[in-house]
Amino acid sequence: MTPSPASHQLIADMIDHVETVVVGKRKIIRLITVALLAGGHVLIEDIPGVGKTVLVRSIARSIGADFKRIQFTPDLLPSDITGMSVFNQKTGEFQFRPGPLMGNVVLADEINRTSPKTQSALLEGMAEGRVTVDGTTHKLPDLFFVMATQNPIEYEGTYALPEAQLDRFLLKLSMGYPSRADELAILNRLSGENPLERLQPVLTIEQILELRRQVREVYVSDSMKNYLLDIVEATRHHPDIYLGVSPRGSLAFLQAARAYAFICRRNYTVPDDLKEVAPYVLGHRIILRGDQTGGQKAAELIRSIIASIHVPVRTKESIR
Amino acid sequence: MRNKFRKWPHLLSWLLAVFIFWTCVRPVMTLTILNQPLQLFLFFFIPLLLLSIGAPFWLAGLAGILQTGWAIHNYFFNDLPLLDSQWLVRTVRELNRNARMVWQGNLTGMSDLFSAFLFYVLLWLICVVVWRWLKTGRLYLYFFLSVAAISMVDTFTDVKAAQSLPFVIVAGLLMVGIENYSRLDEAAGPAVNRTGFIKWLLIVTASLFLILATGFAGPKMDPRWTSPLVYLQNKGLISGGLLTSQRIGYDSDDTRLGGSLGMDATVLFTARISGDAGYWRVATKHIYTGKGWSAGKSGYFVPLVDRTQNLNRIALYGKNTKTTKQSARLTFTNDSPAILPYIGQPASVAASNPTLKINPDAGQVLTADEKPVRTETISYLQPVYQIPSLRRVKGSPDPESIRSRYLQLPGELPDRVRTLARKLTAKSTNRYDAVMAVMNYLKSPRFSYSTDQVPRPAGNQDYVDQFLFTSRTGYCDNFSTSMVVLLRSAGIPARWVKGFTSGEYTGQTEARVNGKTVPASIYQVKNSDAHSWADVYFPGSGWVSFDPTPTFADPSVFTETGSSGSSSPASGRTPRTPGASSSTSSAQAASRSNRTPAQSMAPDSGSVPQKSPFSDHSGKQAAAGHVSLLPRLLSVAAGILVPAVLLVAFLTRKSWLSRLLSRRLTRLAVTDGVSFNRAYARVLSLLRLNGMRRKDSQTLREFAEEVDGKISGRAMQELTQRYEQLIYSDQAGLSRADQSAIMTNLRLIAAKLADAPKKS
Repeated sequence: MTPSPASHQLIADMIDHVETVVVGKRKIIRLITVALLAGGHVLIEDIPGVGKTVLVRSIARSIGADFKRIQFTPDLLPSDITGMSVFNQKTGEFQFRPGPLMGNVVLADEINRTSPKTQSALLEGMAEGRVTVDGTTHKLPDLFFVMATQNPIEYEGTYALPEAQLDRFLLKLSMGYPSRADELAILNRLSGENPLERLQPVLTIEQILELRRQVREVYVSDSMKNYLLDIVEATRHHPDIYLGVSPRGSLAFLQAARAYAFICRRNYTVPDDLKEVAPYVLGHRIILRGDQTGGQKAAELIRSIIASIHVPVRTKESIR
Repeated sequence: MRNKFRKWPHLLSWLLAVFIFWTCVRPVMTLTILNQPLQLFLFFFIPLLLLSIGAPFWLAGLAGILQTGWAIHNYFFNDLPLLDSQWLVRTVRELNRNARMVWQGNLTGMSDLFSAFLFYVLLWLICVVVWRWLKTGRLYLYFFLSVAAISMVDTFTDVKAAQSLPFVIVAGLLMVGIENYSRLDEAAGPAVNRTGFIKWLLIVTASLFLILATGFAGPKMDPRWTSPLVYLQNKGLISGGLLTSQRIGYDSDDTRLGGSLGMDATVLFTARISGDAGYWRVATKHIYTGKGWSAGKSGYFVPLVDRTQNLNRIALYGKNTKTTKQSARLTFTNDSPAILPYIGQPASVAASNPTLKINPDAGQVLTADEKPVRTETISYLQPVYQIPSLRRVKGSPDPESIRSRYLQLPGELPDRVRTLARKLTAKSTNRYDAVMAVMNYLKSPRFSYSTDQVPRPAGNQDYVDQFLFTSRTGYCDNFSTSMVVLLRSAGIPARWVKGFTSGEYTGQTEARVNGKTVPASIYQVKNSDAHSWADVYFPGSGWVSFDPTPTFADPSVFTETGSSGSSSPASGRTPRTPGASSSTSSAQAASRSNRTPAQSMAPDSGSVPQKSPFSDHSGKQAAAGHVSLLPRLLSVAAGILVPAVLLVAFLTRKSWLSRLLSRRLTRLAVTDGVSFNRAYARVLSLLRLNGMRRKDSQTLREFAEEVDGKISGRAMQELTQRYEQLIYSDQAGLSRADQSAIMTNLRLIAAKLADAPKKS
């Protein structure tokens, strides 16, 4: 398969498009695109006010798909997001009224503010691609992309997502404060009319599904797979790590690397792809020993692990 | 490196490095015969300077070769003109002979010349290494090794090098400090900030001062382990003094004379001499310390080549002294000293040990390894001093070289000694009479001869003063020293000689002189025959021996006229040895004295009566070496050059390997995956040679980015992108466009790397 320039152009367009609204976050935008193309979901964790919601909304708007937003609150019930059966007096039957989770692109704002019961309803939908309401299973749409945001858990009035469940998300990102120059640009750009409102969709559902198919065909050589496994195994033997990356994590890692290679306009992966996505794919899949908490530390640890692993550079004899 | 002299901090640290080098090399002058400071200094300074200012390697090599030649000529062939090819041929032959010996594992047989040559080669190589260290900023290594070297010298040799250690440490720390500043400065920006440097220098100096002050003020523990040398000796691992400067085998310390003398009748050697009985010389000393005699900073040796070469360095007689050619053969016992005593002025010396050397300062002939020998064969000139020419010497017409050396007297010498000397010589109109006056004064009954009850000078008492004015009792050392000191006080150059008297006559035999069989006398010399006397310098006649000790008489022959009969001038001079009666030997001497000195000086007169088997053998070897000199020359050259070339190649491997690799790169045709893989591997090694090494955890892409940042451009990244495709993707083929792009990038990288070192 040769890389199709048209598909690459589509992605580049989308990223540029989002950048007209979100300033200085190209890397995060690319990573969200990786998740979208890899068929995973994204969790963005950061303090309030750094533009999580704006970012997610502008990506959602760039995709010409059914966009739903759920604002998680402590009193939200699982049925509020999955939908519920309502008795129709005319027909005399219970009729299913789909909840906001049934959209193509779902923005789950501040998921750590709601009760674990509601959280698990969302996470089940993300994992299974279906929801069960009153004994009936409802399939979620083919394109189902959740972007969740959460405030760091040390803030008040939050319910921490169980660490073991975090791996339902392909990537966990953190935005961080913008640079001074970027913040100045934000002041200039967002003081007037909200540019978000003017944003037009550039990708259709069909296009995204086609891109996802292409991403699955990105070539991963055996040496790359071994390199990936080297990294994963190192997390399992590292003295500071209590729980290493699971095989599900390895699969996610592989998929993310493929998508990253794809948005870099390649149809094969190189070690750099793995290096680039590793902190975001693996950071929330490990549990650190002792009282070390927080995503930043985990991502740092992953980076240090990668810095100790030999990059496969094939030798003469293996060249065909 | 090229802009080193534009930056004066660099210059300063370079000078400090030179100082450290010099301090490390300096002990060589005390430990070996290479004792000329300027020569030693220039030897390493010139190549180091040349290399540092970026002169080509061969130039520094040439400087080394020329200086080695100069030094060898200076130390070993001083009597031949510098531009004479003869010494060069001899040097080459000597090197060849020694190289063969070393090849055969005979390391002990190495001659001084060969060791000196090896030393210079080594010094030159060290010079190159030091230059590399300075260039690559490995100053800590340099500093550490210097300190280690000096400590080793101080521990394992006699040289007290520890005093220079603080200086080296100060210089080294200063050098490292300055170099660190330059490094920080280069990292911060291109501008050299003068005040910043001075501030830095002040801080460095202040901390240095603090360190030194703490060091000197702090309490010093006695060493737990006094000396590794002593420990090793006790363990029996080494015998005697390792690397100690073993100078003289025969009781060399005469700096404190006095005390009673034990008589020891051990036989030292037996001599068969064709000439008259004479005193056997062992050493001359010229520095009077107030307590005894010192040879000064002695230990400068020249080799005795071909039995005759360099013997003129210990010549005694001037043209006015008539000489006769004689021969002597000495057989030593086990207790003999390592020094070869001689009689008269030796014209050729051979010993059972084939390599001999000469100490020109002390007038000694000794074996190169300073071990005793079994036999010695000398052909020598027996003097007949001409009293008329001795009498002609009036005033002080001595050459400056003699005056500066042989008129030395300590400042503390009591004035009454000088007054006495003036009084004794006041009536004499010429030097000979003055000498005789002093000698007769010492031989007068005022002084009594005794080997016991002789006091040692105490406190700051002068040895001569004590003898002349207080004790008036003594043995040969008292008399001879007093004579020399009195003569010097009167302005007459003189020196102190130690050796043996002629010994005991035991019989008659025959010897061959100039092909003729002549009668020879046999003398046995014992330890108790040790003696000392005075040498007085007479312009034109050279050194003339006088023995002021009562009851002793030097059997040297003095004649009143050049052609007719001879007589002993001193009335009291009777030969102590019964065999060599003065009358018969004088007649013999007179009959031979009309032979011209030039004739008897000819080295090839075949005068050596018996050659030892060993010397015969070596002579044949030398002759054979002369016939096929070229191949041997080549083998010596190869033996020296090949390691040198290999070393130079190793030291410069980065530059030539890099050149070689980049040349091969530009010629490479990349047509498929295999050739591309090879080419890429070569690029990586080329980069490694240029100091860019990929870390194991670094991806090719990251590495390429780093490389391109250094060599500017995108060639490596473009090349790497294609290479990644080759090794990570599932398509192996290279399109024609890919191929040409790869080759272009390869050439670009090679070209940029070739430029890069010249820029930096």
